[in-house]
Amino acid sequence: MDLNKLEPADLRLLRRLLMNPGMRQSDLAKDLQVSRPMVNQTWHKLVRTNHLRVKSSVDYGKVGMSLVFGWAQASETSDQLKAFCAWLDSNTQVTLASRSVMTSGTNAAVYFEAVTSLGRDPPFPARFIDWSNDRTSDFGLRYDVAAEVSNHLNMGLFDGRQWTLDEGFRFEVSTGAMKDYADVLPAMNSLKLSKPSACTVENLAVLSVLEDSYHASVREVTEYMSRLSLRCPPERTLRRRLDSIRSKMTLPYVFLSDIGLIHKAVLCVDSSSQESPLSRMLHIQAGTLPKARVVSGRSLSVLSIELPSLWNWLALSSSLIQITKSSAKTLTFIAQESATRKTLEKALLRMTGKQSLA
Amino acid sequence: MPRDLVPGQSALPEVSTPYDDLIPSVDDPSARFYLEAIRLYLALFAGTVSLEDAKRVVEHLKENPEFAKSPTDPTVAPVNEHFMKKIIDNLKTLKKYNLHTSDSIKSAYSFAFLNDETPINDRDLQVLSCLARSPLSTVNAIARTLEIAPKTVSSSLVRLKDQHAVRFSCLSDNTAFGIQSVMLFFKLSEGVDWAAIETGMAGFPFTRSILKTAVSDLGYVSLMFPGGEQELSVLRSSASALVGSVFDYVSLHVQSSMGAESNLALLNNGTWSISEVIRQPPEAAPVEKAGSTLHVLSCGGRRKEFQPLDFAVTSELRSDCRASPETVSQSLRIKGWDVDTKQVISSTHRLIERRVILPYTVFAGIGLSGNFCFEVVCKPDWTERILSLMPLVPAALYFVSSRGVILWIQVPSQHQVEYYQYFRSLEHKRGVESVLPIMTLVQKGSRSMLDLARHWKREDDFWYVDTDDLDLASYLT
Repeated sequence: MDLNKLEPADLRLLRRLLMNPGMRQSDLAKDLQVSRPMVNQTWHKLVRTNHLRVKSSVDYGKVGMSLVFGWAQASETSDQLKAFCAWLDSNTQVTLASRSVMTSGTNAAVYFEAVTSLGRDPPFPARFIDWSNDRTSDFGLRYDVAAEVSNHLNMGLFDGRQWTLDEGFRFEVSTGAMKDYADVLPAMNSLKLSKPSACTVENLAVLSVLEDSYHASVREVTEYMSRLSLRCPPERTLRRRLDSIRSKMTLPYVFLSDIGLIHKAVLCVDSSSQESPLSRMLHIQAGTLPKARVVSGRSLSVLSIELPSLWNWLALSSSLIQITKSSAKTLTFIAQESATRKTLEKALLRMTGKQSLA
Repeated sequence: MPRDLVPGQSALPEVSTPYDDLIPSVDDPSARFYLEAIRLYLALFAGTVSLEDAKRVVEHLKENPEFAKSPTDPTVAPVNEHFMKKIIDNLKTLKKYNLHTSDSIKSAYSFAFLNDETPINDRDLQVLSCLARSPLSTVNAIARTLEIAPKTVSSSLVRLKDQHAVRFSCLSDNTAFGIQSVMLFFKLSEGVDWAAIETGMAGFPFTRSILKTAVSDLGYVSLMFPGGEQELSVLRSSASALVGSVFDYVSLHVQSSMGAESNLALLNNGTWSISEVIRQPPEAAPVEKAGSTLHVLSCGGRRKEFQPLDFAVTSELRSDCRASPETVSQSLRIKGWDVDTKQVISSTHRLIERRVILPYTVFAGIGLSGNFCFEVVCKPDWTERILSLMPLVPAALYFVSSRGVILWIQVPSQHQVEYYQYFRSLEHKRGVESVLPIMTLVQKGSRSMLDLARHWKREDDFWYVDTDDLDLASYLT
C-alpha cells in the first residue's frame, strides 16, 4: 500500500507532534484543545493505517559504538560489488543496505550503514578496501564514521492526499543562498554523535528499546531485559535511568509510512574539505523535503529521501549537485526498498552470548 | 534569396515591460542574455512588443555565446498567464535572495517553463491523438474524423497549446542539402573543467545543441555542417585526439535516418499503462524486428532539386510545421531571406512530397515527466530490433547511425525505473555493445539550422566549409 489518505484531524495531530516529537498524548490534547480520548483514537488509527511511531535517533558513541556509513559502486556486472552486497546482507553489524535500481551513470551502487563496537572500525574485511585501492578494478568504496544524524518528516507539504513539493527554482535558490549561512542556521532534528566510550550492557539494552520506541515504558524495558536474561535494577532506579538515557542519548523523530512517498533516492556527497558547509547544508535543507535522513561524517554526507515521484528526484538532485559541484563529488541513485535491522539488539545478543531474544 | 541584415538599417526595438522594476541590472554578459530573454517574454505577454520585433531582438540575442550553450528563444515559448506568473515569481525570488548570477537567472527562466501536470480531458486527448497520427491534419479533417464540430477542435487546439505545450515540428533529411547531422557523445576525463569545455563547444561554429547534466557523467554535442566523408574524417580524428586529455570516452554518430513515435493509447483515464514487453526483462520477451508502422525518415544524400531556399523553409518548419506560409515568409524575412509566400507553399509541398521532412507532434504536461536519452552502440540488426520497441513507449524520438541508435524517450514517472532497466539491460544482449543513459528534466532546444548556416561558405547552390574548421580539438584545448 503506497498511500493511506489522511484526514484533517490526522494532519492536525501529526503537524503538532512533528513540532515536538517528544510530546505525549496528554500534552498533545492540551495543545490541540481536544480531549485525550480523541487524541488517543486518532493516534491508534494512525498506528493501524500508517504505522505511526515515535522512534529515536541514537547517540551510539554513548554506548561505545560508532555508526559507520558509506557507499560502494562498480559496473552492474561487477563480481566485487556482488560480493560486497552479499557481505552486507550477511553481516549482523549492518543496519541498512540500499541498492540502486537506477543511477545517474552506468555504475550500480549500494549505500550502507553499520553500527560497530568500540575499537572495531572499519567493519570491513580488508579485501574490500584492497579492491577499492586497486586501480585496475572499477570497484570503489567510500566510508566514514558518522558525526551527525538527522531524520525529517515534513507534513506541511502534504494535504492528506497529495504532496506539494517545490523541488524547482525556489529550492535551488534557497539552498544555494543558505549554503553561505549554514554554520549559523539551526539544524532541526539533528543529533551530534559522541566519540565511543565504554558503557554497561544494561544501558545498551535501555537504548535498544528507546531506538524503536522513544516513549517506551519501564515495563517494556523490564520485559526486554528479562528476554535477554539481564538483571533488572529496581523499578525506581530503572525509571531514573530510562529518563536519563532518553534525554541524554536520544532525539525523537516521527516515523510514518504509506503516505504516498513511493521512491527512495540517495544522494552521496564526498567533500574534499573537512570544513565544507555541505553536510550542514544538507542537515538543514532536508527539513524542507517530505521525508529525509541525513548522515554525515568528516568528509562524507549522505541524504536519503523518500519522494512522491522520480521527477522530484532528478530536479532535486540536479539542484543539489549544481550547488555542491565545485567542492564535492556526488553520486545519486534510486534505491530499492531496504529494511532497517535492529543492530543494537544484535550487539546485545553478541554481548550476552544469546542467539535470539527469549 | 538571403540578404544580410545591415546594422542600423533596421534598428532593434526598445523592449520595455510593466515588470521592469523586477529585472535587475547586471554586467555579466551571460546573465544579461537570460535577463533579456525574460524581458522579451514578459514584453510579449504584456503586448509591449510585437512578435515580429521580438524575433528581431532574438536574432540579436543569438550573437551571445550563451545562446549556443542553451538556445533560449522566448518567441517560440507559449505566451500565457501561467508561465508569466511563474517567471514573475522567480524574479521576485531572485530579488529576495539578491541573486544575479548567470546560473540563477538561467534557472529562473528554465524552471518557469517546466510543464506542470495538467489533466487532459477525453476530447482534447482525442484531438491530440489525431494530431499525433497526422500532425498536418486540418481542423475540419479532425472534426470529421471525431464527428465533432470544427469549433470544438479549434478550442481543443488552443487548450492543447496552452496547457500541454503542443507544437508541431518536423524531422528533416539534411543530407538532401548536402548537410551532415552528427552527434558526439563524451565522458569528461577526471578533473576537466566542464564550464571551460562547454564554452569551447559553444564557440565551435557547428554546434547545434549541448547536453550535459549535473547528475550524469555522459553528455553529447550535436553538430551540423556541410560536407561529406572528408569533413567527417577531420572531425572524427579531432574528437579521437581529445581522448585521454579532455575525454575518457567519445562516440561519433553520423545520422543515417531518424524518426518520432508516440503512443497515446497507453493513456487511459489519466493513467499511463506500461507494455508487458517493457515490464519483463528482455531475456523473458524476445525483441522482435521493426514493424512497418515506424515513422522513419531516411537520409538519402544530396538532391540537387533542393536549394538553399528549401533549407531555409525547412529550418522554419522545424519550429512550427503548421505555420501559415505568410508566417514562414515573414519570419524568414526577419532573418534576411527574401522568400515569398508562393515560394514557401511550393517548397513545403515538395519537401513533404519527396520525404525531406517528416512532421511530428510534440506535447508535454500529461504525466510524462521522465526524460531519458540512451546512446545505444549496436549492430545494425539490433538497431532495427530496438526501433521496433519505440511504438511501445509513450513518446520517442530516435537518431540512427551506422554505429547504433540514439533514443530520446518520455515516460511517466511511475514507470521510469522499468523503462530505464529495460533499455539498460539490452546491453547484455549479444550484438549490443553498450547502452549509456542520460537523464534530463527537459529535452533541450537547439540552434536553428539557419543560425548555423551563417557560418558556412556558399558557392552557387552549395554550402561548404574549410575542412580545417572542423578541428573541434582547437576549440577545447
